[in-house]
Amino acid sequence: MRIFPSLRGKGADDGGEAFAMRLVAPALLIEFLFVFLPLTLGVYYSVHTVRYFQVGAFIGLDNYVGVLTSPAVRNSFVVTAIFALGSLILTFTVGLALALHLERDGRMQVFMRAVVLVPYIISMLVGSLLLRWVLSQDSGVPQAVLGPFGSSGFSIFANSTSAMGALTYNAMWRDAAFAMILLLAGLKSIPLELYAAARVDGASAWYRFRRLTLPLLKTPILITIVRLLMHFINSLTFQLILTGGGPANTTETIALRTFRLGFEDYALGRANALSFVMFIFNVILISVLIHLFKPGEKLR
Amino acid sequence: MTEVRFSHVRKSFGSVIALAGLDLDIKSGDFVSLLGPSGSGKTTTLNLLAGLHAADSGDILIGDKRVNDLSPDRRNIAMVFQNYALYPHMTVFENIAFPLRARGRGFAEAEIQKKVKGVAESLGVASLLARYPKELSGGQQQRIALGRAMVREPGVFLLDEPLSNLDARLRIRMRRDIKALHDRIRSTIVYVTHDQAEALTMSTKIAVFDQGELQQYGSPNEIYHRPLNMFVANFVGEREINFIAGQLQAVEGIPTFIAPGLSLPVNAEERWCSLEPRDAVLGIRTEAIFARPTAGSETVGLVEQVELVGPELVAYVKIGESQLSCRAELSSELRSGDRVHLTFDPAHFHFFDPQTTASLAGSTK
Ligand SMILES: Nc1ncnc2c1ncn2[C@@H]1O[C@H](COP(=O)(O)OP(=O)(O)O)[C@@H](O)[C@H]1O
Ligand SMILES: [Mg+2]
Repeated sequence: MRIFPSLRGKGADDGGEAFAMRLVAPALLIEFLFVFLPLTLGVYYSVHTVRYFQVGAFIGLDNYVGVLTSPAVRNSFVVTAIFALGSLILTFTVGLALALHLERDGRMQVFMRAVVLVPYIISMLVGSLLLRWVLSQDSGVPQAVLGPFGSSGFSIFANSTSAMGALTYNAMWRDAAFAMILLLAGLKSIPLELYAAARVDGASAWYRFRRLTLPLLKTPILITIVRLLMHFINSLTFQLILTGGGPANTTETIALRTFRLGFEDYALGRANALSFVMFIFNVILISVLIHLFKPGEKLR
Repeated sequence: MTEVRFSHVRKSFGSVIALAGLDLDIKSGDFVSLLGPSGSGKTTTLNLLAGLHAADSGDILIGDKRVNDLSPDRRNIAMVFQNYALYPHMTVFENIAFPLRARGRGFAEAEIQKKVKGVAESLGVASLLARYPKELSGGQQQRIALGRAMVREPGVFLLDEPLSNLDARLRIRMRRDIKALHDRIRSTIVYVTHDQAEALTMSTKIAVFDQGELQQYGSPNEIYHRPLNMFVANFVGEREINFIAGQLQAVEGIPTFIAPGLSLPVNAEERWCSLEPRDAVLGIRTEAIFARPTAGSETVGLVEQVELVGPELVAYVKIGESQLSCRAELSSELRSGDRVHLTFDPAHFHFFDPQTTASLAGSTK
């Protein structure tokens, strides 16, 4: 019965402690192998010259200076910002609209919730391949829509604006359902009586949304925004599959740039330096998220 | 002032009939309690009146206007919900001011200030205006909910079990406060409760519901002393009424109720007494049977259980085939196993038809 006797202070029972260690050991091992080790290796590589997996001399922060001053990397920062913010706004808006629309538990709503979840549960890779085909010049939507009017030359992926548009659309198409789930959970936790009371009090639908729904949904909204932002900043699959970073690197995000530095240019030192910068940025976002979950920081 | 009328109002949810053809007339200034067990259709009635649900058929009138198609905010009503439904992210002030601001009818800020403060003072919560609902006790939240309803000065107040979440003592005090409030503002109040004591103490009229049907509508006095059927007789009253199945017949010219072990003469003024012998159920409340220790051979029962109820005792006495709850004096020191003599007060006999459960008095009068 006394699994954690040492927690009770004195009289520590060694057998009990060893048992406790055995319980957490597998988790610790996995954490070590797949988080701690790669991270340490990454940092180690990032301060050395690495060519084709051969670790060379220690060069301090040269890799960091190198990537942060590279025009391609700078371009990828801007692209990432545009992609992440654009996708965030689009995805969040659609997710919130879906959540509000599908909140009631009617038969249709439950069915539609399942339907909008489909893009989210199929593999990102498959989803992006699918969209790539749907948006392709020869067999896709552009041809089907514009063809009858005699235009056959338009390629979505050849124009930097429409390519970015396609990319954000891909992100929204997949992740709006994720936003919807988080926001739906928040909406469900608002007592229906509040809305009944507000209706009797004479509040219009818009007033109820603005003065009840939005403020009471503040925490779920913030959580959704941070989660989506992290996801979009780090995502690689959309860009790799849908646009390949093109045309002319106008959709090459940091993640894709890192991938290319590492696995196309084999500049693993620089790739790791860039990914460590990303790591720091992610840590900041995660601490915002943890802060949002902290009890006592919650809204009234 | 504002009267309310339901005529032939029906409401069902899927296959559940929540309200089966309600006819109810509420006079202006009345305090009407909708009383019934849970699931009997009280909240449904209130929500229909508030406009939160739409009636399947029938007419609902507030004032002399048919309101079936009006939205809740245009019905001249205010509502207090069972869980208060205070807006958790707003201060007490903002909560009370909400109905004034939400309508967008352009109350000046100074006027809102004045109204909210006035209401808060009249409810004794003026010092709480800057707090948030979760910083208040249940009783205080209750008052804020009342305040939010009062601030609009509506024609009709709707209250859905507003005291059920409070502890017993506070509930009794709030009863008096709400009654005093009604005496002061004289608005029409429709008050939902499953607590018969609340209904009896506060209302000018009580509507008793069971299974979506109105069983009886009358003053607390009528409901208590002249129940129209066995359901009302049993539901109203502190403890369950005693029902004894037996026969009404004339014994030596005197109408008498006969049951195993019992032979009780009945007041002869009642008309049904002259009828042929018939089956009947006698309903009689605890306070109308008095138990006294006996040595002799009168109507005798055996005490099975004794409860101390404040100033006196309640004894459960086995007599014939029935167990009856009766009053007894504290000084009698009854114990289980004692033999007792029972005195019945014929003024409090209620006779019911065993088949229809309707009151015999009601059916022939
Ligand atoms: N929104 C609803 N959906 C389905 N059934 C309901 C709904 N509201 C009430 N009912 C049903 O209608 C009946 C009456 O309910 P209600 O008026 O809430 O009873 P009360 O307030 O007297 O406890 C119950 O059987 C209840 O289950
Ligand atoms: Mg109810």
